[in-house]
Amino acid sequence: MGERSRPVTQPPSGRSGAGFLDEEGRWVTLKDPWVAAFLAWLLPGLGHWYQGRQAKAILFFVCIMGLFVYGCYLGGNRELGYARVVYASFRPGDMRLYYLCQIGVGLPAMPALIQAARVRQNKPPLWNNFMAPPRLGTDDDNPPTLSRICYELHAYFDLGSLYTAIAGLLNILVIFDAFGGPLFPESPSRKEQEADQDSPSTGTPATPSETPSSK
Amino acid sequence: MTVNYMWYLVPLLIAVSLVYAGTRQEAMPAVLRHGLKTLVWIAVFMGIIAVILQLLDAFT
Repeated sequence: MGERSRPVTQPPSGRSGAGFLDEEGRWVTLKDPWVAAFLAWLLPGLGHWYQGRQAKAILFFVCIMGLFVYGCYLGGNRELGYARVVYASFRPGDMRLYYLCQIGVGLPAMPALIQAARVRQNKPPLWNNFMAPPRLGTDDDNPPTLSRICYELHAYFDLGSLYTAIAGLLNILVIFDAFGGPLFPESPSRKEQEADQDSPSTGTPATPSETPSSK
Repeated sequence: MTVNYMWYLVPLLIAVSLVYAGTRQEAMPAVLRHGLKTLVWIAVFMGIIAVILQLLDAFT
């Protein structure tokens, strides 16, 4: 509440397509917002890079991939396999709802789907159990069960899950930013301008003069 | 060596603040300013919650 997107104004002459004016009055083109949103999901920051917003692309890539990779590091080790906190499992007794958040980072969480498909077909996981779903059961054989992974990783299993899930959720914000531009905080001058338009003395209802932002 | 798990909050806080600010501003100086404000806001808010929980723990 209290925030509202800056309207998407008509592009300056010679420019076409969706876009918006940034804080410094420069026109920022969103190119094809659907392609940008898809690329932003595929790899954090890639949608912004496609739009030519390189600084934000680097910021989002470093922050989100930093969280994701560090979470993968925390949630695994050489013996158990790395990234054991990122796995796709929707079996009775092991519903991994965290994965619904983790898949928000796109391609980096995809190996979990390959591993899950292999386990479903009773094939051994690849890559030293990287992102493989744990074996169901309670024994100590290999590949390790969820009980053994939790026992050996202690709180790092939860920390790794949290880091990777938050990385995925943050990328959803980034996808919206690539699609519709930033949701600028409402400035006091704009509030006054809208209040003037709403006042009965003018007799004209407040209508957005331009196309509203898609956010 | 025992690591205080609270230290794991720091990178999370920084990343969340910067990404949130990045979706509210476009120019990088504005993003950093907004990110710093968000970081302080979250830290203070969580600090207040931590103090309340400590007080509840001490007096119950």
